[in-house]
Amino acid sequence: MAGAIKLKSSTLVETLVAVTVLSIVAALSIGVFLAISTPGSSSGSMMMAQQKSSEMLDTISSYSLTQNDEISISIENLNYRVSFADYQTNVKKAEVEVLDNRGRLVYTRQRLYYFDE
Amino acid sequence: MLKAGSLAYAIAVSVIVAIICTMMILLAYMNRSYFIHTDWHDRLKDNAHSAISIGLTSDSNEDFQEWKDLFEDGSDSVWIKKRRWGAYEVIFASAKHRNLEFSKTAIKAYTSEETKALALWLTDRNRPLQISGNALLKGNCSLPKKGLDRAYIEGKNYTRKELMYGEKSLSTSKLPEIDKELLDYWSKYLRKEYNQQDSLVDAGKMEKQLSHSFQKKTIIYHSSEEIDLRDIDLSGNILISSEKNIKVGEEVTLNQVILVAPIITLEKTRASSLHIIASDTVILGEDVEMEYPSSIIMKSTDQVPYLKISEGVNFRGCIVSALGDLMRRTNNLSMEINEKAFLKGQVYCEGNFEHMGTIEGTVIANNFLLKTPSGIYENHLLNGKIDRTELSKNFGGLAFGGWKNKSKTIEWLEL
Repeated sequence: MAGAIKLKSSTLVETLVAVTVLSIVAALSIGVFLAISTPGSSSGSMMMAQQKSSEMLDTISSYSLTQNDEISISIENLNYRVSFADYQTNVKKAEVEVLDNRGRLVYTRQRLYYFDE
Repeated sequence: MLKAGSLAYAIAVSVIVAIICTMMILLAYMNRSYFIHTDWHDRLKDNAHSAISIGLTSDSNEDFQEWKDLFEDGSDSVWIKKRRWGAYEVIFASAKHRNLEFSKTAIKAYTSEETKALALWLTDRNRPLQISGNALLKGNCSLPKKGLDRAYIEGKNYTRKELMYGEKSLSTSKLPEIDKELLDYWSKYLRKEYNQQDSLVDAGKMEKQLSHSFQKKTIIYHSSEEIDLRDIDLSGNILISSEKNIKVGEEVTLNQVILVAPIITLEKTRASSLHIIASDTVILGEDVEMEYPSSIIMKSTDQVPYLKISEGVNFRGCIVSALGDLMRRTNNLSMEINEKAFLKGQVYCEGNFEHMGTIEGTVIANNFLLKTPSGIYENHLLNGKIDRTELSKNFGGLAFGGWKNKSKTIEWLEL
């Protein structure tokens, strides 16, 4: 038949396999891309930073407030640093900064505390 | 030539891959949304907490409500509201972001170095305090120069080894001043001068069951006649005011509600937390229970106010009986505590105080007066117990003039 395309069965199978492999690779690439690019799923580190920051703010002692005693800890490749600053009379501002192991600021929170020496 | 079977195979694989990709994208999106939602929730919680901290520093005697930017203009705005509530203050804070909102309500009270171990402060009226029977003074006492003495009253001697258990210091001829603004504030309510944060409702329209948030205006159920409270369950930002008297029955549930009237009578009431403002008489009937932080404020207008605390009463909080301009020598009792009554907290009495019960906390009084069938005894204490060691050093109560008062949150409310 004039103009008809004839493909060998083996070529077709190879093409299909190639398409399939490409699709799987593309899907995995998307998955990896999403895993490292979105804050909500970046290896769960943001969730971890959020949860740990809350815990740290909930458990700040009156000693830390009165002495401006900075807190610094490192958990699972994230460094947490709590610093204090005067906000107004008898009120201190506590700020949690979370840095990754390259020193980049990835998360921050702040809260005010009443204290009376 | 294409085989149909191969094409179907290719389409099936593509569909599966597409579904997996879509699911992964959806999962990532949901993760992201969840994170953003919880993060904002946490940030709003932080901001509401921060607003309460700011409210605690406020020494303004006026009620107020305002928007405040916490850290940056516009992005961390919080709504703070403060108003007096009985002997305490209520601070309400709310932080919002789009349709998310987090609010907190705290009750603020005061503590001071002076009251941390103080059991009794008694005005020096050039008379000793005479104690008899099973009376107990445990904790630090500020007493008149003439100190303490044993007395023989109604056939009873003082039964303990020591006259007091704690450190002794000298008091002065002038009672420590209670926060005058507190008394003035509630005097206005006794005169029916309500403020702008109040919403006046006829007491006849009182709901049987109501929980009213401190975010809203205070509901004032007002009546010019007697109010008899039966079968009701009220909590929160509610004030009940009568120009005559209020009676509270035993099947009533009140939580954080304020009662304002010249005369208030409670019959076997069990209140989570109740605040009473009266000018004439308050009777806490048998077995009345009022949990911390409750309060009673009695402010005289033209006569000495009278508070009776009956047998079986269990009261936790602060009591203030103020005479103001009526402070003069009289044999009328301002406060009478039955032998089987129990109080935990602070008692401030400018008038004559007959104490025969048990107080775990601090008493600041002008004069003890004991009325018995055989006579009236001035500055005598028969069987009355005052034990400061059974109350937390950081108990949150009243603010006193000239003492270094520190604010503290004593309770978080779900209202």
